[in-house]
Amino acid sequence: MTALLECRALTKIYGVVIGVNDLTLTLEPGVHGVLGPNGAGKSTLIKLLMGQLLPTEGEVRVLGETPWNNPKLAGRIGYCPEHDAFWKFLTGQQFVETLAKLSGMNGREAREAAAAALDRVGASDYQHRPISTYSKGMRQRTKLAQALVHNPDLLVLDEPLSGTDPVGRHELMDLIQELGTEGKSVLVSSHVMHEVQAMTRRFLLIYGGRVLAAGDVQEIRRLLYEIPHRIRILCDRPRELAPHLAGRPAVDGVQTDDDRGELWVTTREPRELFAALPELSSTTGIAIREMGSEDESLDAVFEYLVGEGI
Amino acid sequence: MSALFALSLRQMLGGKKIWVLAVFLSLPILLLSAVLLAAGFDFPVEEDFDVEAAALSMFLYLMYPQSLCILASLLYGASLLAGEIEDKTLVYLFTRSIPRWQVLVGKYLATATVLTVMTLLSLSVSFLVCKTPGGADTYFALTSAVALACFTYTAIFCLLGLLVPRRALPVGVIYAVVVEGLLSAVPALVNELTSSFYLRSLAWHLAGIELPEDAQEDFQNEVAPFVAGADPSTALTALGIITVSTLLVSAILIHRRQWPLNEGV
Repeated sequence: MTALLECRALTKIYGVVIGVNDLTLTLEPGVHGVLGPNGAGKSTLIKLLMGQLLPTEGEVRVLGETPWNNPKLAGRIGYCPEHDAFWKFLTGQQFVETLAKLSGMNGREAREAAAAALDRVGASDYQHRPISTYSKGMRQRTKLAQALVHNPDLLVLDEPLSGTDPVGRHELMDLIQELGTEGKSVLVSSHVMHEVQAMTRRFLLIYGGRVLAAGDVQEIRRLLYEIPHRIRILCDRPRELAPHLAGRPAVDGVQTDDDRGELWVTTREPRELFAALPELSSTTGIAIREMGSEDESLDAVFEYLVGEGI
Repeated sequence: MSALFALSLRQMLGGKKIWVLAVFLSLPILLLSAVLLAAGFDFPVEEDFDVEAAALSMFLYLMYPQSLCILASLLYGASLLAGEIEDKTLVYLFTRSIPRWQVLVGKYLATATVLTVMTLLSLSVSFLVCKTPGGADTYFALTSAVALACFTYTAIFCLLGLLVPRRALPVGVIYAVVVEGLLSAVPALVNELTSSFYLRSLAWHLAGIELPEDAQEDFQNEVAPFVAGADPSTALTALGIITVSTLLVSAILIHRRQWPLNEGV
């Protein structure tokens, strides 16, 4: 099967600024999240794979083809840019229809495809209004519709949920997941981790132009076995419980927050700790209300990786 | 391409710059109307190609192909893609299954067509206000020159806009004044490198002006090198070459250039 994205020693330098740094990776078809803070290199990577930029060094291939100046490949990709870019004198329907025509459809095909795409993203109700009157959420949906209108094999969505209301966000997340189950490949860029987690378990973490990690969040956790977990324990007397934990071989460190009734335990063997806690609670008489590891969340992985300066 | 043409037309007609262009194009009409009023409506009439008619025709030529066409083409041609970059909409054009050169040509054709139509409208009104000096031949010569000027200068300024995107307007003004103004009037090989030279020559020949016999020798020696240095076929060929070659270079630049389609790293 042709890889969705292949980068080999991909580097993009703007003057003295490195946008993407010696990036080598292969993504298989499916839904992937591209995560990283602002300035991490997400936009540069997207520009490179959309054929807007030429690599300074290395190579990038999308769906097996080089994207630079490749209109044929562009016809297989639907791109939803991050910026609020529109010809605002058009209505949503005219906007999507125009872009369908620019994708090679004739008038009738473009009209029908635009109507279907707008319906799919839930933008039919206001499609005949000028875009200048749209809310941010409406504009996001319209942008998504233009990315879908030519039925591409790959969707590249740059911060597609930005500005949407909670209901709209939920609907768009469902839509993206649905596209994935239909066999479409999707690359979703975001700096909001829980959004991406809700859409896919496969992701790229980018920081400083490099890929910090790629794969499933659990796989990454396994890869990062040596990284200490941080366990949060909610109890009524955290300061009293702390010394009982601190002496255990599995525990690397303990931190208390009396105001919030929290105890943070750093450990490399969380299972052992979880197994020991009920007995400890029983012997000390300290009621443990809640416990859990934040390390399963993407935020924890990302924060750790960024913090380590990998 | 037709979708792009239609989109560009709507962009042009819906933009603010169209009002600036409308003001520019109404100036000659207002000026001529004022002169007409001052002259007590005593303007030349059709068929009488006398000194007054010649002066008015020359005025119209200087106002339209020599000035307003250049100005209008500079205004729009230099920013053929700049507007899309500014609005961040170029990303939609360059990430579709149409080659970049088609984006350029579609936008160029739409721009040059709108400029031609608007300038011809203004020229036609001015021509009527002047009571049609020189008749149909002059009108044909002027309209041909306007159309060719709009298409040629839009291509030239489009290239300029791509070469010096941030300084396109000042560089364009310098180009218009120095090259299409001063150099085109130098009666040597230099003027043959300018579009104005060929446009003037073409307009002169198309106007079919017949000079009195006693003026012909002076014309040949002193005026012809400025206004009739190239025969019509040479002029048309030269303008075609200038337009096509500048568009070709623009297409190559667009093809090779990495565009600031998005911001940020």
